[in-house]
Amino acid sequence: MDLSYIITTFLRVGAGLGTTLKLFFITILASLPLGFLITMMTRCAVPPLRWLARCFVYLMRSTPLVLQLLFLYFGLPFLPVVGVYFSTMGRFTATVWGFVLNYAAYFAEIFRGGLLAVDPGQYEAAKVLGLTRRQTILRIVAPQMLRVAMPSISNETITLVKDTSLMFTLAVPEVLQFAKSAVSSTGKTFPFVVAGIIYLLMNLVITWLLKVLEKRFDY
Amino acid sequence: MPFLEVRQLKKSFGSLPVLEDVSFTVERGDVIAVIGASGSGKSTLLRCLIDLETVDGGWVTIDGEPLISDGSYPDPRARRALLGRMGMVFQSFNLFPHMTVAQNLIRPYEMTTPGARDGQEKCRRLLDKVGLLDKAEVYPSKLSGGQKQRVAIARALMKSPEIMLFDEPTSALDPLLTGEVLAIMRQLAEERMTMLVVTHEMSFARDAATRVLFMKDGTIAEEGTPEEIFTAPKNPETAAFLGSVPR
Repeated sequence: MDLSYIITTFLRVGAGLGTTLKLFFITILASLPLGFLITMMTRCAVPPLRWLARCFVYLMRSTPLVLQLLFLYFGLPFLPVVGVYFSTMGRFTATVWGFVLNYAAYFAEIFRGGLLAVDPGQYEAAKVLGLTRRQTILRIVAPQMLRVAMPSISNETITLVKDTSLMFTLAVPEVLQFAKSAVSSTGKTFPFVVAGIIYLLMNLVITWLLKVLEKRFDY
Repeated sequence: MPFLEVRQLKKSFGSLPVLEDVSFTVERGDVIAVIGASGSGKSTLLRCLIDLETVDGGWVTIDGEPLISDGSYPDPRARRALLGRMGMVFQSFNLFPHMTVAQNLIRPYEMTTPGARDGQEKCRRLLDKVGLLDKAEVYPSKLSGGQKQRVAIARALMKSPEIMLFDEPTSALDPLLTGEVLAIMRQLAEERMTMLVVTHEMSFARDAATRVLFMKDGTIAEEGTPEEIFTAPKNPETAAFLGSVPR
């Protein structure tokens, strides 16, 4: 095994890195706020909104992500009436929807736990000081909730890096897909090792970033 | 016209009545100590006055403006405006743990007073008043209970309230630390701040209050000057209560 083979393999497998990172960043950026919105909905005073949010979380957490991806891509176009709108949806788009919705449900549960840890006295203090509901949630409650939720969010983020490989299911060309095709065409398993190294490196960077972030919430 | 007027206030939690026909008035500059056994409705009374509990009936008027009339509340704007003139201090301090001491004072002030530029200056002045200017950049977790409560008092004073409500401000404190908090409250009383203080500190009620309300089973069982209440209580219930608490 010479150096040029190693480099070629890294380049070949690394070609999927763009798609992998794109899915990762879109999912994180969209599912965190969406998750918070769902948490707020589960605590909303309007019962139908509450039920909707709870059903959504139940559905997303209780079925396999792979199944959700398959359903989004292969199943939606067959729905009556609205199916036609989904028939042109690309594989990557379907994956993004699946990931964002699935991770939002998990983050919603994590936030819910974080909210329970916020002392009710904080809401009362905010109220007597004259803060609006919005200010109370965003400036008083959310930062305290995030502190409690941070370790779980970190855990989920690292899982997300690995979960991006589920794009494999819909044959979206990402790191694992490229590794698999390299293995098939060369008959050597080394590309799998390379894929493993790439995931390790991504999580090395992300673990470090999350540590820095967790420190910021330490008061 | 009294600054605060409370008439026939009623409140129950489910089927349990907590306040029954509570009526009293507070003049500007009054320091009212509310005393009574646990469960007599003292804290609930305070919480009703600052809208932390919704009453079932009665009237509350602040400086002639109705906060509650016959059990119903005005529109949110009027309500907010009235509540903005009141400050409250809790038994458990309720400082914001993710903000430094200075931020605890300045941030809520700036959120509720858009365009205010005097936050920094006011904060310094009030922290100096409660003797904690050197703790401005510290997080609440690094403070003692007494220090936390002094910060909470300074925070409540940021919006220059016309009346301050204290809900057992020293009950969560180590006995050695109550003195520093009571000293600040005495100072406020001397500055003629209108105060309504739910307390178990009989010494404070006796020498700092202008009037004392004794509550029993959701009603005001006796009301009078500290002199009257502590030396010659008319109601045997009052005498029994005072006999049971350490002076």
